[in-house]
Amino acid sequence: MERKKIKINGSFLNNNRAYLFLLIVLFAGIFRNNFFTAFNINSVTGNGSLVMWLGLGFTICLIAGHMDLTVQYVSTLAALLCLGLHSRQGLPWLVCILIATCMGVLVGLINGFLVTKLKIHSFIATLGMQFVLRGVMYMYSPEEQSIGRDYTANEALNGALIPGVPFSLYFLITTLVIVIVMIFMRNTRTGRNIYMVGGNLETAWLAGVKSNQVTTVAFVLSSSCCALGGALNGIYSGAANISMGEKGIAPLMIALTATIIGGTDIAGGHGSVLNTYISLVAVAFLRALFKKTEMQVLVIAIILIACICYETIAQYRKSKVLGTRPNLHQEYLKEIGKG
Amino acid sequence: MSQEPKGTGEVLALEMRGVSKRFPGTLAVDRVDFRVKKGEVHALMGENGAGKSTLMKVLAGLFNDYTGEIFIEGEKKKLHTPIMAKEAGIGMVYQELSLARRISIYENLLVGRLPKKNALFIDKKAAIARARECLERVGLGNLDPTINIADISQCDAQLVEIAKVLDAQPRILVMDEPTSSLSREEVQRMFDIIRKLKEEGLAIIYISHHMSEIFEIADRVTVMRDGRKVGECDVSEINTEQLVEQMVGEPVKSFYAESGSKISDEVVLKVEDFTRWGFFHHVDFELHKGEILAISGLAGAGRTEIARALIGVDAYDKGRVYLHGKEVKFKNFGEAIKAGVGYLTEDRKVVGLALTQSVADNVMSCVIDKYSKGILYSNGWNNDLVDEKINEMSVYPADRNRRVNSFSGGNQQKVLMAKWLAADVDVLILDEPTRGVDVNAKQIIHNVVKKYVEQGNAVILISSDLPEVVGLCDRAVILREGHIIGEIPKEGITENSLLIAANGKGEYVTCQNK
Amino acid sequence: MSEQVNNNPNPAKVDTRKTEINKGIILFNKLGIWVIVVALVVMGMIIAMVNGGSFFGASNVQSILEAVALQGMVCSGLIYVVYAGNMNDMSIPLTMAMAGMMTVQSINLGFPIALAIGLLSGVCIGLINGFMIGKLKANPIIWTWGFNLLLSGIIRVVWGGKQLYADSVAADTEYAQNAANTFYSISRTYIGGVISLMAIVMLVLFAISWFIHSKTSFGQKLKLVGTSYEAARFSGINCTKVVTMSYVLCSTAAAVGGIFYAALRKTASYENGTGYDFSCLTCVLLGGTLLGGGQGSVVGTLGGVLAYGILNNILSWIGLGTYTKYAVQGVVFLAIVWINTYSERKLGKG
Repeated sequence: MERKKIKINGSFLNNNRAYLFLLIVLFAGIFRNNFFTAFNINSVTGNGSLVMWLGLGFTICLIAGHMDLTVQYVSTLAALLCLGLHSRQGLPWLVCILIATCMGVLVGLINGFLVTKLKIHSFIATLGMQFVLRGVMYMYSPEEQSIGRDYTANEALNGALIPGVPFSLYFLITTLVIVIVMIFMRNTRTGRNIYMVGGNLETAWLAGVKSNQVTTVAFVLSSSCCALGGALNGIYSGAANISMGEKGIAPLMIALTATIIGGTDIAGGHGSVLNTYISLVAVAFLRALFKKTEMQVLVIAIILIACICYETIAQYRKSKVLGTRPNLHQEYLKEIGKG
Repeated sequence: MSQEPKGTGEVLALEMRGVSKRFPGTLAVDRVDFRVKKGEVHALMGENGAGKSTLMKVLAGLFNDYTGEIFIEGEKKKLHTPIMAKEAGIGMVYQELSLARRISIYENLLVGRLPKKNALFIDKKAAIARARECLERVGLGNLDPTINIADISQCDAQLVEIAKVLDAQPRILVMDEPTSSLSREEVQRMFDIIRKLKEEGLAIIYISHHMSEIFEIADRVTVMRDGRKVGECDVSEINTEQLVEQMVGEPVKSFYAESGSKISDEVVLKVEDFTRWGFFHHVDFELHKGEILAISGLAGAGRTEIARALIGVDAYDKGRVYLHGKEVKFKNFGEAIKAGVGYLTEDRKVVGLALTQSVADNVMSCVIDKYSKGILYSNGWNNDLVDEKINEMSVYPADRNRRVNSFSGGNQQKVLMAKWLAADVDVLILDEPTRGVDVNAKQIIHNVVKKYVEQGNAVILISSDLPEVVGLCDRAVILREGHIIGEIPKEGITENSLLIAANGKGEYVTCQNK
Repeated sequence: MSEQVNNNPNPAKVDTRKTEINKGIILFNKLGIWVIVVALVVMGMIIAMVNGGSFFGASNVQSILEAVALQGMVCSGLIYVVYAGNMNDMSIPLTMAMAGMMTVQSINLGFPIALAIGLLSGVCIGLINGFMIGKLKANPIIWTWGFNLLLSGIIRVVWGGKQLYADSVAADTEYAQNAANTFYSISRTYIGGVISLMAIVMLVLFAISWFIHSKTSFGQKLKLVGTSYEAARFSGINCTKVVTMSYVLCSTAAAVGGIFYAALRKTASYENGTGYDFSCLTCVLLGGTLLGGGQGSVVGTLGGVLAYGILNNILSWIGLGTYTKYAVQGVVFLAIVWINTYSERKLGKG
């Protein structure tokens, strides 16, 4: 077997556009003062971590061929729950995080049930769940709409774990979990089945893959990751409120953008958790690059639209020549060569 | 684990005894006995609707209500689900690829049973090695199993599909038109693989419309007609003409009344050098007023593609189309209908009818613009027209407000036909106008078509139902692999001549393409 | 052993039963929502009585109508997108915001021209959506969602993320100030002292929408496109045009909603219209339009809008806060969608 050679061409760039995006953003950072300081990197990656969890969840579901719109609200609810349990019931942090994550698992199960058993389109089902979760959120913390001001564990998550490396513990945990999920998606049967169910449901079904079960696993994985991330984010920022993370752009929107930039197929079956993560890191730095929210929104939106257009047009072109017969195609090439 | 090929032939790989399968209204397979020996390629032949794909679906376990007995290697088996069929040792290679395009080859091959390294992880190396073994078996040893299906050729994908089926260690391999999308060189590659598998002792059931392939690859052939088995013999004992005769049977005469249409010399539609690269090349034909012209050929020869390009749904690259002597180029189907060209699609469920809407909605669907007043339109204005057309087609029940999906298949097809009568076009292209309908509806549709051309219109018929072509058509042009290779006049049209010409042989083939 | 289980003892019988189910579901889709509306009204009366208020009091009716008016305006257009089988137009919020911004920005040109510019911006957005989805076949949800973000970015950059007030944008001339005042007053005019102009506009839009839907050739074509895109294409219908038109109608209706929204809030900003994408879809689905397209009616959608408004009103009578209502709305939404999906499956689509 000959080794695969890496050719730098259009499709290579397109497949790795997340890395390209990150490189460009980091390169642009050189021209900014105080951009590559330890403090800046620490806070940028830390503050950008929440959407990384959301992007993780969104990508998993999109690979399975579904959309999970609840990611943002699961994480917010988890943060409220986590801080609430600590401050109201006085439970230790670990227990709080665990309970919050269990809540995520529950939401994932409900989503999976709605999609696989009641056969509601995932976009609509999770949309409905969004309303429910928002309602629950307000019920849990009706007055102040925020819980916390508790900075006891905040220091631990904020501080750098390894001296000299300018990353907060929170960001490192995020990265670790994403790597674990990536390994799960790449190297376990369930993970591969998620790809298969998204790529071709019929093939998976014919091969005896329990597609309903696999889809539910995808939803549970997505929701529990988001819940864990949300809980940690609550502790990290020391406070949780109902509009957590909604500074400027809805986190869900960023998660979607990063998933698309990361090259995950809208139709499912193709994509990488890692690519989404890379493009989210890029988005985090991008947001530090542009101080104004307006510019952040515009730049992110332009990149998203460019990616969607690129893929749509590629699809459109492909559909024009679908079904050509090889014999006739050879003949065509011959005739063109003559003329 | 591999089966020892006994080679003595005493135990049959597959024996089906008296297998029947009834669909509402028809007996699709009627007490068929079917035997396949080990290590032979057994061709299953028959015209469209002869019941061969239904028989194979029974074998694949897609029906749980067939009757009769099935023995596999002498053991009696029940095949009620696809899983049961798989466990019994039957491998089906479907015409449509069932592979996930953006997922690697080895995962597609081993979906659902990727080898595990330990309790948690899959063993990627073992999986790739195993995939390579599978690929080697179908002659793809030098294909990298880690690349995506989307990045390999159609032929390779087809072979991967076979490799996937083979990995389940089947004893009987069913191939339904495996060469339909392959080039000639690729077909040869496919045949080499089939020969190799044969030597390994696999029983292979091979379905194809291409007779040359049957003579090249098959050892034995079973012919089916109208749901029954009509013959079985060694391929060496038979030639094309005899095989065609068996498939076609006694010519059915009485059913088709002599057509009284007078064909005038006036050319309604003329097509010159009509080309869509990769689909059909340099097609020329003329259609006269009052004529029914058949575009005849095997499925996949490009018949439907010509029709689609003609009506402006697909763009064509080269050539001219003259309608009533004037050159036309339709940008979309709407323009074609306005100019008087209609097209009855082959698949009524997906592209023909809006199934959840009423008969009136469907019948009027292509003349909305014609009957609208300014921007205003109401179905209610045209109730008389709709009633007239559905009575003409004797749609039962004749209720214009009934939803189309509550009608039987035959009546749905009549509604589809009524839609094109209402469109009042003078050139109508009929693509499989009677597929899957009962005899009664078929007759009604045929009569209507005849009456329609007697009124001075013209029809192009695309049909795999040979008796229909014989009974209706005044002339047939033969299409093979995207080229017109000949023409059969009215006197010469028989089922035999059509089938032989479609395979590129016989007296009517005038310009054999390379 | 060879005796096979026969699952289809009598095909004819199965067939008739299927049509019976269909009839019931069609009836539900046609009338169901109005039954719900009446039930809700009765419920509302009882609850209001218990609480010592009057459900049909002028102020209550007024508040119901006002609450649903904006939603109703948007829904009268959104139904076309859903009906054509494209699920939802996610760019509704920013279409509303954009229309509001444009109107306020051009208030100096006089009120009618400002209004026209606002509407025109909606038409343009609809055309772009229609081109991408109708012609290039982009994924309708992802595209409109992305486009929503793009519009948001554009508005924020162009206007610097600020809110626009008509009276401060207006030049210091009497003409411009009058225009600004007229603009503010459109959401505060009450005809006969009870029924707000917004409700009237909503009803007019619904009337137009109903007319387009059931009396024009476009409506008939849309029906076929929504039921089966391919079948419509092979009936000579220009599907690209029909889909584009559906988006233009939707965006225009959203623009009308956005203008009234901006007038009501007295400010135009990128945040106007947040949440309207989802709440309007709820109303449309509540009104019996099937998600897969091709089934549904404008009258039903009006019923859906009213039911949504009355439900919210009742929840207020019970004493639920704005936010707690979300949970109830979510559950109602899921239940409705489930029935919707279920009936769609029974009708042989999806």
